[in-house]
Amino acid sequence: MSHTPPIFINQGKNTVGYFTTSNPEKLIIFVHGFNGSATDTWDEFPALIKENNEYANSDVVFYGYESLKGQVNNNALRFYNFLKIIAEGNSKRLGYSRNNLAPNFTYSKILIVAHSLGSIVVRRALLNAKAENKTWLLNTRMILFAPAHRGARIQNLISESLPTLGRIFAGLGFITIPVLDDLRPNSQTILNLIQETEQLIQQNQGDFTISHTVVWANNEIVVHNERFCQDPIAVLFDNKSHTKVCKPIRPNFLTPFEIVTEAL
Amino acid sequence: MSRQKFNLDIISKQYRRKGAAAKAFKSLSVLISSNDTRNLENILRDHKDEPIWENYLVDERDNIDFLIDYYSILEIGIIANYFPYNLPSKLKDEVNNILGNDYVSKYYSKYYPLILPQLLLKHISFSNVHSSIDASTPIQSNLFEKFLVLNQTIKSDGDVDQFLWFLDGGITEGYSINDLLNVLSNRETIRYKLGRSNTHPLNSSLFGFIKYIQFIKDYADLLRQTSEFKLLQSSFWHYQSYWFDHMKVQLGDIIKVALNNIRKTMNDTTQTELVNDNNSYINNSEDFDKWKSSTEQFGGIEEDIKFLLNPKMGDPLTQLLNQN
Repeated sequence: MSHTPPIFINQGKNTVGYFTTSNPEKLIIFVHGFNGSATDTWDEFPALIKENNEYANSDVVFYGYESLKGQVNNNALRFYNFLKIIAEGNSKRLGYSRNNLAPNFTYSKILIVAHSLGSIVVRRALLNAKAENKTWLLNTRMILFAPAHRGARIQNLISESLPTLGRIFAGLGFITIPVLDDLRPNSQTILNLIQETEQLIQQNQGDFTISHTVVWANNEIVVHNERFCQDPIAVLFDNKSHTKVCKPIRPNFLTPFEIVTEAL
Repeated sequence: MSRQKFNLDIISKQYRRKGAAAKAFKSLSVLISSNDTRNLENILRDHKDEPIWENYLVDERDNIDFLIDYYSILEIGIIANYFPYNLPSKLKDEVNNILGNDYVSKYYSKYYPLILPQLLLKHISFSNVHSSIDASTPIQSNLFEKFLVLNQTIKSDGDVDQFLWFLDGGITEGYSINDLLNVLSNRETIRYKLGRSNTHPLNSSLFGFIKYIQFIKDYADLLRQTSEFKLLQSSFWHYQSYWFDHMKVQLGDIIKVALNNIRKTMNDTTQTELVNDNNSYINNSEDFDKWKSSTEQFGGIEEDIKFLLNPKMGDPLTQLLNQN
């Protein structure tokens, strides 16, 4: 018995937590992409985590947000507000209280794993944290799968990521999806993200902006596989598409899980 | 504490010991213990006999539905071996007291029939009901948690609520399911009515329609994954039986009409119209052709709906209930 059953957290949208039944030391947060969902995007990650001893002291949260409505920076702000609650020792407010935690408890490490659009949400949230001098940034790492932080090909994004009806309604102009504008390579959202990151790196204050690992899909047709500022050279997954690159599936494709485990 | 008891404790904290279900438990306990049959009968009446128009009654019955929902989840969790087969005596007493009450019983057995709470009460009363359940396996735990997470996605979604409200015959700001079906068949109508607001009831129901069809696909996938465990599969199906059984004609027909109307609109719309439309993502003939071919996937949607609306899926649990 390493983790709780799913705890439905009243933050974001359909956010689910699996809290350790041992002493919590680390926190891992998964953030999905465009039209993803809190847990589905990550396929067998929840089951693998619960079965693996290396996660025995980690709380794990699958954060969800309404990616089809609202601008990306609004979602980033909500995610930042959630991060503040969980990273600053207020996890009781998330619907699961543990009597054995010290009143001043904080995690020794926070690992944020994001897919596609989630990378922009996470980067912007961490820049907000920097603006408010949050000390937990020093213990925070990012792993990014098929990140959209250098923009996306909108037509391909729609055809790959939206369900049939969403694709049809978007084609007919029935529905407005503001985030699509934010995802264009030269959008103000992305240009600002790059500029603010570069500034912090020049001032030697941008370590937190450098991802621990970046994964690209070899069959990528949605996002632009371009290096972001000082990120490390990406790892390339063969025979994987934009949506499959972050989904571990037993027994033959465990690499996404191994990458996250290695970063713990 | 055993794993199963721990699971029960955590799930009960979320589904029963707070919010609407906790309120319903409190109010029903008071009414039952004081033998207030007049109020019990009034609150738990069949709306076909006398419509429910009082706001406080609508809220009260909503809360009761949440409590009954918890008992349904309890029964499914027992079938999945996710919860202990022998429930704690305090919980057994609660189930007997609430579900065993004549007025509550009529509510979930006669007026709005649900198998799962009936089976839970039977299980509490006759402990050999589930003797056929196999020992717990991790696979069933994973399936049960997937079930919880999947249902949560539509429980807390305003767009899906709006779509299902329309599907159930509801009206919002003068709009109904007919308005949704009409706009799907006429592109100019929807553009005139919607403007750019994502909060307009019709716009919200459009998003709700997209999300509900996605839910249908995911639910069908979950049931297919559960095919090895017939009782569990049947219990998942019964959990959504309001839509898959009671409302199956409306659900099937409305989605069929909606898909036909969408096909018509797509046939009536030219490439030039969409390329010149700033709201559309279509920029050229390649985009347009790809977009047009989306209707080929309607077959998959129709197949999932046919799969879910098959009443045979409910048989294993119904047979279990009817066994002596």
